[in-house]
Amino acid sequence: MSVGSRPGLGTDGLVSYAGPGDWQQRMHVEPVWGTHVVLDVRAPELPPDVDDLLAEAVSFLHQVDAWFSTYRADTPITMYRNGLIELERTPSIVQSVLEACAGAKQLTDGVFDPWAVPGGVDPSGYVKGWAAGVAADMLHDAGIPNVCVDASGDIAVHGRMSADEEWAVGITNPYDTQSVIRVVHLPDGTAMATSGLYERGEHIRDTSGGTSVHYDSATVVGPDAGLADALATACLVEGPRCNRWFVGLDEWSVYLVKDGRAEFFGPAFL
Amino acid sequence: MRRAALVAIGTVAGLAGVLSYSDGSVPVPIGLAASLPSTEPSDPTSVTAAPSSTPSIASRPSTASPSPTRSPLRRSSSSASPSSVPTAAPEPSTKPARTQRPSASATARPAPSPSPTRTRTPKPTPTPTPSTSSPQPGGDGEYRGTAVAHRYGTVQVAIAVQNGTIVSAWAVVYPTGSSTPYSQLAIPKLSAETVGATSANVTRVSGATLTSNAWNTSLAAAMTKAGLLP
Repeated sequence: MSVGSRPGLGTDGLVSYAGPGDWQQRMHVEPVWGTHVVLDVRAPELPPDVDDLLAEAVSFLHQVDAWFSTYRADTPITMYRNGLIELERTPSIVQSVLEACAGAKQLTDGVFDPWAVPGGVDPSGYVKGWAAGVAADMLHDAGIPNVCVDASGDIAVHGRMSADEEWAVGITNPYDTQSVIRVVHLPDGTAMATSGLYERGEHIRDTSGGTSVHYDSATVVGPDAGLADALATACLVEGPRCNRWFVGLDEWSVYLVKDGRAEFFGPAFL
Repeated sequence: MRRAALVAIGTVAGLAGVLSYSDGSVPVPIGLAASLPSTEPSDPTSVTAAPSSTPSIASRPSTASPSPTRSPLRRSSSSASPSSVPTAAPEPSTKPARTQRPSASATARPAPSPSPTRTRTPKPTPTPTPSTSSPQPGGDGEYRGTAVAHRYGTVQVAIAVQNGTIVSAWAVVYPTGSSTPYSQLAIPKLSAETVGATSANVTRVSGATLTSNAWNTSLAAAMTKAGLLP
């Protein structure tokens, strides 16, 4: 990994991979959803059927595509968007995800709004994180104690990275994507999502009309991967007042970057 | 003068978003004015001294948590079947109204029903012992804010300063006797720091999609080269 630096920032940006120590490890990278999803499982001794368990999780990832892809004509979400089926006729999991999106919309005062995009409801801003969380849960519930699922930055973990350390995840430097600006140790059963416009233009649409966002990067850590995904997007748009959404959510943490400064709160960043 | 301001800020703000600075930059907590609880009526009956060895009590995972943190989503997802469905995380009743002031929304918020919370490995936060001595203003040492009364009790926060930077903050006095932890009622405070590249020993990176995808793609390529992937 090359060392990145930028005027005004630190020059020490070496990123290295943290291995499992003495544990066994199995890692799988699956091309799906137009991106790559990494499944990383570790244990003092992995179960003998670990490859089967990974295959089940991978098949779930593809099933998610078959449910929720808005790029395919044959998915329930596309058929619903196009008015070809009633919501009640879609798979119950589709309805449930849309309910969860409605909850995230309510929590964020409508800033996260999958219904405000052109072409009909698009839950993509929730689904990627949610699916990472479900895949991690599947592997964990199947008997693998230490799991990390990374759906291109939407990360869900169980257990620990190694005997000595919780899962360590870096927050990408929005001004130099080859380096990281903060390392977060994710406790058992938590998830992390980062949202930013620094590399692909304005792909987040501000539901109040414009497309402007407040932060250069917004990271949310919490116990619900789908909600973390949605909240990261909403915080990016909303600005410092996003902290009001976290009243009572003591397990949640936020790391927001703007103009070379970071604002943060929550247990993950103590 | 700035030191005094830091102490005062720590007093009212330290519980929710404890100030933790890891670099030498000027620590300027922001977004404070919107949520200062100091104008709340006092409830002096519920004051007790905090154990000095417990830093930032209020920011620890609590035993009561409203639904968004315990969405069925992560419990019911052991299979890919349609029955393993997520549900809407937040309930309308727990949502503070947009127009309410932070303190008002705190009072309007129903007490969350207790729910089990994961055991969490505490972060290795520096835990200096609160000292009653008064260090020289501007120097390293520990500083105690004044006790501040508000609706739910009295809070007093101490900070530890090294080289002009807050390295730790914790409550020396915090409300007890309430079924609802103080932290449940506080809007998280934003702390601030300067962004700089850091050395990292990590398993993953979280960034905007393309960056993370680049990381994963690169990883896939490396693993393929190493014969670990077909």
